[in-house]
Amino acid sequence: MEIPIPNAEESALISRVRNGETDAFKLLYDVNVDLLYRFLKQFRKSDSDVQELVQRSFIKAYEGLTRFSGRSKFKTWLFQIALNELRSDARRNSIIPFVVSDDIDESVSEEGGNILEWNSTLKTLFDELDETKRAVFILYEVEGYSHMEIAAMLDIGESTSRTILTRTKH
Amino acid sequence: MIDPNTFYTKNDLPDDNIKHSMWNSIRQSIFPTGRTKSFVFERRSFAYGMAASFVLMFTCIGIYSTVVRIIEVAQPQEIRMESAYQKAIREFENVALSYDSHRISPGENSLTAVKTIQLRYLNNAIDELKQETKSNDLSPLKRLRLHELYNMKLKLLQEMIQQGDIES
Repeated sequence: MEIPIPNAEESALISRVRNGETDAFKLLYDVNVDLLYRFLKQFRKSDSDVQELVQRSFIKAYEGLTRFSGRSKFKTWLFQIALNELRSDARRNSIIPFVVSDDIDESVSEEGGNILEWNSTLKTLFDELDETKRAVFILYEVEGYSHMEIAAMLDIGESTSRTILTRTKH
Repeated sequence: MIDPNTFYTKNDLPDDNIKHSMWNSIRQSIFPTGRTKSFVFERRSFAYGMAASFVLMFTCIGIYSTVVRIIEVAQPQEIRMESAYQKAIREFENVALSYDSHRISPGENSLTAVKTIQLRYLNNAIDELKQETKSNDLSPLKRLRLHELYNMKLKLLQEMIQQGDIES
């Protein structure tokens, strides 16, 4: 599903977008739309909500492209924007998710929880998780991001990311 | 780590219509005035076009001036002389803005009136002579006569300007 795009090619595409080439941004969209859509689908059940989030994320990515340093992949940056949008929606709608509690016990160990076999039972349990836990879990276990990257994306501490993941697994 | 293909299902993916529709919305939002690559190129093309137009215009003016000059140089001496006379008269008449040979009636006796009437006669004589034949194939005799009339008109205009008979 994921279309690999070399970093150099991605940088070239971004430069072209900055020069006003719509076609280049369309390419970035084509490469990333499925990845973002399926990720956001884990947070919103309604297709129209997901579509709206995807659109907003791409629009914000385009508008903020001058601020994109290129240190991370475009996909990572896009995910971060999408997560911010999710958080904004949560704040607007006073939804509890995306509130990182301060009383997280950071001493909880990750050991023993690294190997997961994804099945329907886990899927059901996963759907009951709050959005922060869901985000950390997907970003780490499915998308393969490090805790450092997740911390930056969710604007939380790296250790907090570790703890959330451990607690989610437990 | 969980394999993304196991974690995500087919239902988690948008179909082509949804992707197309989302892209259209995105495009309309980020390029509301059609500020696309083609617009950038159009603006650039416009600037290049304008610059090219100016270059072309100046080139045309240059070519036209050169052609006119070449034609003038290629003309016979008599015609060039006549052009010079006509040009000189035109310049005098342009300087003497208040000069109007039709303003003074033939019955007036002042020196200015006389000179003005003389000018009118000279103009009539020049016009008649020019109407007889085309200027390009005047006979030498008629051409000589025409040059004399031009000369007289020039002198008369010069006198009138110098003596203040007509305002410059």
